[in-house]
Amino acid sequence: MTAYSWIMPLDQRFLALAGLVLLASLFGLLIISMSGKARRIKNGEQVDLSEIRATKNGKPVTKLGKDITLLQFSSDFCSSCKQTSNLLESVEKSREGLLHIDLDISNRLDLAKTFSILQTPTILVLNSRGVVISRIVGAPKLSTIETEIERLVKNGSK
Amino acid sequence: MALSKIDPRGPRFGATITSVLMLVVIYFAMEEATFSIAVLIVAIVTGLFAIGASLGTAKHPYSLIFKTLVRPLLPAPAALEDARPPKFAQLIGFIIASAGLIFGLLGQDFHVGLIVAAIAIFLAAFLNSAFNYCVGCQIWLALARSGVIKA
Repeated sequence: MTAYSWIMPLDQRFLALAGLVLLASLFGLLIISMSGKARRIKNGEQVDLSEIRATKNGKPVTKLGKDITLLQFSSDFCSSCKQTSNLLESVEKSREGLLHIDLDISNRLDLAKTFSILQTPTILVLNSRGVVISRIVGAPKLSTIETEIERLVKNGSK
Repeated sequence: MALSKIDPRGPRFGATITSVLMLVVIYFAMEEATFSIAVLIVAIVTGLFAIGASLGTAKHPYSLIFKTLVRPLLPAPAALEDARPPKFAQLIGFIIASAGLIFGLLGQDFHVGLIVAAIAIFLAAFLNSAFNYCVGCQIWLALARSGVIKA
């Protein structure tokens, strides 16, 4: 019997499984809590739409939104990118001076390098001059986007 | 190329079954008397991953169960989803499950390898099932960026 000394008693095996499920749950909660939150960016990075060859509906875009530009990076293998794109499109429709651009980095890995995209969707919130104000990694809630817009409009009117 | 769309709840349903199966595998692999059952389950799961990775999740047996038994009970999906990400995730699952299967077939001395593979699959399936978080999708971007796979 000593040859199989690695065998765990029944209750310990259940304990191990329970621990695994608990750990996975904590990890999942951590991911959920970090995903879709806006993080302030203060390094003054500026985005030039023509430089990164941005397109919208297949046509090149060079002009930023009058007040705000939501620059979204998506990829083929991304389950929540489409949802996020639809959400931001609807925000764009309801709000004047806001431009939403959705760039697929699947064929543009240079963009992933330039903007250090490690996860899709990633959204950069740009002000009227194209300066990155905040960065959202993961699918955001509508309220998160609204908060960012409000903050930008408030600061912009100063 | 026409994009095929699927109900996103289909793969999540499959991931739920997979995560439960992996818990069973880990449990059985920790005991020599039941080790062969663990290997057998991993062999089946590997085969299922192969179906999902080659034919897409829509043709996967879990998907057929979902379509006939579960979906009629649910309201219409809020949005359909691109079929490619889950298909790619199935490929990742297949690779890891194959590694686990090889360890299992090598015998009980390699039970740690089998268990580690089962834990990896469990984590990915569980995060998908419970949190709608797609590990495979993040792996894809990392691989594409490092040039391992062509976009």
